[in-house]
Amino acid sequence: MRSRIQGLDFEVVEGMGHMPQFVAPERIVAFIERVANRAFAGRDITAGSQQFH
Amino acid sequence: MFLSILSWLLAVLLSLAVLGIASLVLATLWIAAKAERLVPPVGKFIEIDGNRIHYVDQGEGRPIVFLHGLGAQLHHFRHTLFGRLGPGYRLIALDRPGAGYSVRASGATGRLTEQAEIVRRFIEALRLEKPLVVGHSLGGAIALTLAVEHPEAISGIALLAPLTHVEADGREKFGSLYIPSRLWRWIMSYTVAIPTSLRYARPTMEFIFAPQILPGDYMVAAGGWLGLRPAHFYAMSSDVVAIERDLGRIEGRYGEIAMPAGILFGDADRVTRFHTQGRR
Repeated sequence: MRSRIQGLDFEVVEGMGHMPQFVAPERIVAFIERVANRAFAGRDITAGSQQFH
Repeated sequence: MFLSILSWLLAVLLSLAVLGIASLVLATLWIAAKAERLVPPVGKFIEIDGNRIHYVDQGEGRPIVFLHGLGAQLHHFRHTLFGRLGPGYRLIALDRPGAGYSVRASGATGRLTEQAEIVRRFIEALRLEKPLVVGHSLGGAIALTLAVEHPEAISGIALLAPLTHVEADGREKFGSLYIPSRLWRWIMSYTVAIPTSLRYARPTMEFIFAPQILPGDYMVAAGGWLGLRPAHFYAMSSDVVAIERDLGRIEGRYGEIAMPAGILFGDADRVTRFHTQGRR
């Protein structure tokens, strides 16, 4: 997948099974926030903004 | 005399068969009722093209839409992640059509492009401004389909143990869930499937969680009971058939994805195995 999607953030967790959100939720939150920071870069993220809510 | 005995035997056999089938149907309805009592709906409902979608929506800020995997439902994210993601996010998790408390539209097929289109229309209906989409397992395949088919609707994808490729032994892996005939799928859903699923629920979930331990609160707090309902089984089987029909075509287009994307895999995953789903 790394060679097919440009700029892919690819993380492999040793010893982890199929349910990472149950087993390592803090790690998953960090992963989601890392992708979110790229995805929302440059956008107004003011809480309550009509753009987002 | 002989004919009379034969007729009597046939009548007895027929009665036993009817009794057996009725018992299975009653057991199915009893298990489903118990599931709904233990895990009631927690969110709102919205109609999307004939699909009644159950979803939870909390917080304000950057929108993130969560898509669960095969046989799962929104509690897989709500229970595990919602309390941990900091302020500044609007978190929306939906039951995919047919799963949890969402009802699939009459005639809907569960094809991956159809499910991606429903998510796109859901995003539109909630007026979400290009959310990040988080997909787990089969939810990852739907997020990938969304990224390929409707890139303008979302800002990125973050995939957890995603299904990315059709596997050669896919049918064997899904076992009794692979039922191409809609009629046969419906018959199984209301007779054998749910009592059997209940019987094997624990070893099945232990296999899925391995090598980690199945959480003690999985069945109620994480909504596990909701998978023990006939409509849920029917949707799950439809999803399995759709994977085989659609994913091969979608995976040929991953190179088109230009938005921010992330994939997280465990190398001990026994369901979406890293060497076939992640490394390729």
